[in-house]
Amino acid sequence: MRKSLSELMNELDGLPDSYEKLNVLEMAIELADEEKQIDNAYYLRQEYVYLAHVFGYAQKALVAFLWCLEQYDKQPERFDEHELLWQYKWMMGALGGFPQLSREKLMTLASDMQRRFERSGWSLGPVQDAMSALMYFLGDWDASLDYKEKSMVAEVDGLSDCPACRQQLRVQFNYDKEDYERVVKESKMILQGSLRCRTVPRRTYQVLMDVEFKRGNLEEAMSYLKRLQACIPYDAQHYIAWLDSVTLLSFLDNMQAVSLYTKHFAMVLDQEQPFDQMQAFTVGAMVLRQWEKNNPDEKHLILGFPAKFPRFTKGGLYDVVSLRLWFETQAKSIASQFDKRNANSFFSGRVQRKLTLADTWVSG
Amino acid sequence: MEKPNSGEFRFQVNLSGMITLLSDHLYSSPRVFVRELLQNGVDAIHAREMIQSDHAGHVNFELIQPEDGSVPTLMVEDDGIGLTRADIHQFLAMIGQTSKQGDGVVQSDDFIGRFGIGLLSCFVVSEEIVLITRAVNGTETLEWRGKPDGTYTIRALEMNLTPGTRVYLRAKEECVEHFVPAAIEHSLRNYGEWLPYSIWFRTGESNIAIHREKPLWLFQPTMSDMSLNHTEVIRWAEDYFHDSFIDYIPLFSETGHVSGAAFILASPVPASIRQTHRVYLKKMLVSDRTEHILPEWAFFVKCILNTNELQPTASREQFHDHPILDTARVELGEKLKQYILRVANTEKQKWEQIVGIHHLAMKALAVQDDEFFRVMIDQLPFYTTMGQKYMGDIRTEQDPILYAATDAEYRQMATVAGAQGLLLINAGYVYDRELLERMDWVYPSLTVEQMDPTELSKRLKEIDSEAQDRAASFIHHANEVLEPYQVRAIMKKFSPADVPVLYTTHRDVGFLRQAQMSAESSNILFAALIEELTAPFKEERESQVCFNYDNRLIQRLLDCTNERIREQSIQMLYVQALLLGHHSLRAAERRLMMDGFMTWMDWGMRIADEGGM
Repeated sequence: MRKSLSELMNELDGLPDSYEKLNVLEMAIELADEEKQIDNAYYLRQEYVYLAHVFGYAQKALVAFLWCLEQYDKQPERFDEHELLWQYKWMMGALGGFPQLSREKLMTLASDMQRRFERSGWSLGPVQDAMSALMYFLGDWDASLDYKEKSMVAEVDGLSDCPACRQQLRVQFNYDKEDYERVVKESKMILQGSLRCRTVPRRTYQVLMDVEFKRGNLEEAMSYLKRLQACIPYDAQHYIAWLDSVTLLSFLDNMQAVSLYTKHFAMVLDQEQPFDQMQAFTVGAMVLRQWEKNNPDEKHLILGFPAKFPRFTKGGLYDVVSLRLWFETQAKSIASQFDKRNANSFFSGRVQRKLTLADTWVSG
Repeated sequence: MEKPNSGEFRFQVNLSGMITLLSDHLYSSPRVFVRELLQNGVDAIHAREMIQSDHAGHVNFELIQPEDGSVPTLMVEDDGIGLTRADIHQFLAMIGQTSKQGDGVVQSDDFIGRFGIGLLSCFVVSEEIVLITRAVNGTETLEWRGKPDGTYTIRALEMNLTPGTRVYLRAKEECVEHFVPAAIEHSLRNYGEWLPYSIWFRTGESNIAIHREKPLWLFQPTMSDMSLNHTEVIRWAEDYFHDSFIDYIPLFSETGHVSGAAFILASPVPASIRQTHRVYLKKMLVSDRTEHILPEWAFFVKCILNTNELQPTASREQFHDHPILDTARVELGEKLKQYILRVANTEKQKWEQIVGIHHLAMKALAVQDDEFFRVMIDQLPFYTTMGQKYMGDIRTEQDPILYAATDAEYRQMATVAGAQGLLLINAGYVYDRELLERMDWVYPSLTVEQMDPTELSKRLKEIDSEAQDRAASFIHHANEVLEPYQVRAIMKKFSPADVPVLYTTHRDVGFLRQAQMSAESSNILFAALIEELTAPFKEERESQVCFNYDNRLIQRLLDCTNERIREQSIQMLYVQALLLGHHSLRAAERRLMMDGFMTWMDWGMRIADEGGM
């Protein structure tokens, strides 16, 4: 017999954040809708938005979020605006990663977000931060940096990020400006342990790892990599952090990079946001390109890709060049979808630069 | 305040505001004043030991309860290093200044306290702190009286106190509840029972020892080398934690200098629980609710740990979230893992007991740790259409390994998949999907496939061309009847033959329904966004009703020429298929079920009336 809504809600209490919890939430939402329990349907969706967002199911999160937004607009006195606007920050930050959404619609939604923040008297910092992400997805790097800078100096209130995240924004801003001395300086408070949250210092390690790599301090880079790996469990929530680890390792310990990439590949295929997939396929191509350079006489690799991988081979034997080309094609194809929407060549250029880095990097 | 002729100013601190901040925001309870007094006493003794190594110190607490019913006073006396007049000005009168700062000989890390705000917690419960002290290297006995408005006095007393310090706290009227014997004894025991000094609590005629003799093995990094009586250790832990355990694991981490023991709980723990542990700093309790000292997967143990180096927060109720704590956590996790691996390889019975109770925790560890995964995956249990099976057996019995990603999908498929002889794993339980997705990575020669109901439907046996011809009009009719429910009808053969129909749907169909519903009730912008977002999902996402050609009822329906009966039967079979698959019924489907019942009952009664039964 199928479970009742109250049984499902009790079950949710005992579940850690996981795929299983997402599935139970989906069942509970369906039942709440059927039974027209609007309050439960609303709050279950809010939980769903959070979990689907962090597990990479961005489309599902967005659909659930838009339903909540609509319900709130119909009955603003019935639901909590604060939580809704908080989630608006995440959603706006993710929407640009879907190239099928037009620039016009995205900008209209951004105006909607700003209108809601202004109407309720909140600081516009989170809107500017979301705009920074949107401008990046639209391939406008300078505008993205401008919004980030505005967000850094915006007034702080109940919808602002936590102090650790705000400090991390300074780190990220200087990283984006390639001011690496400043990155190190801004990271100091975080590294001392006085500023921490759910995503910091993890994100700081990700930035510092790359900064030290770019500055040629390979031991330092590896030390940040170890610190990063000590604080990220194996789950979809930390997918991008694992991908960054693989990027560094592709140059410094290529065999480990190949292994780590394959290990996380099931998560790559689960990502709904094309932007995340593009990143993952680019890294896959980089890792294999580096492998080819290190092992010019070996044409094949045994890899444990999951059966749902479109290029899956039973037995796990793969031709490295054709596999790498497949990754490159996928990454370039998604980049061109972005560029078509954005009417520029920003993402194709970025993907190409990364692939070229794998060609030009020389150890030592 | 301005320095004369300097043009330089100094901030003024409102002490009473600071005290409000402490009581309202820093400390979780006003009772921490007992801990702070105890800590100061212990640190004073330790400081004296640094210059007089043979000194054996003590701390005495005495609760004075006047017979006239006026408010009680707590007196705390230690025979520690004491304070000189200069010390008093420097340390008692300056917030944030601690007497325990490193000076080259005595390092601040040697002490428990370090922030210089502890004494302020006394103002939360008392209007005045009276402190009488004589330094070991001093000649005068001094009295310091401090008030929460920031004023204080110092005077030399005629009396000749032995070296050490006495503190008197008279309870505020509204804080008397914190000055009752039971509350103070509880706080003292909680924080100080393992401290390496003699600590006493006197009230009236009673004088009780707070310190107690701790088991020799407790907090010993070498406890794994000791030959301990297993039953005694477990009994001790059960008495201490008021819980049941099946084994213990010695723990030690170089980083943070952490040592102690983890006790394996005797009953299962939900994976959402983040276990809390008792953690001491230099043998004084910091918190019995410390969470982040072990990895998340270690929710099957309760720990008692002591650290000499991890840094407490200013409230001293948690540890500073610092990279050192991250490293200590990894080291402690490694110790736990090594224990489990050793037991699994050498003590079969105990391992079976642990897996029997804590298979969830073992799976959580296998997800996070490659070494553990490789060694243990074959010994972890999974639920399948053939009952509970260990992965080692599953690997040898079925290739490819098949799993359902969610419990709902498993329920849809279990009966039919089982009857086809398919060993299908239910990966709808926490961690199972992650583990199965890792199988390919660990064993590249293995194929692990996720099966969804649509896929199962494809695997069912096709009917031959003669049967297809026979079923064609029925399927055509079924598609017409079920069209409003967005379901496609097909005919196949499958076991068990007594199941007439199988409903299968892709998991995204539910999502698409949600999206459609959202879009219908949304404004133009949101509806357009949803439409664009869900476009990629719409290809090849449909629900199917698969009729079973081998079923007797279906055979009869194929021969049935009464369109009305056939239509009602198709509708009822559809509802039955939904119920068998544990699907939710939408309003239209509920109506269908009710109408169907009524119609069939009506027909039944009519036949009875006409003498047909």
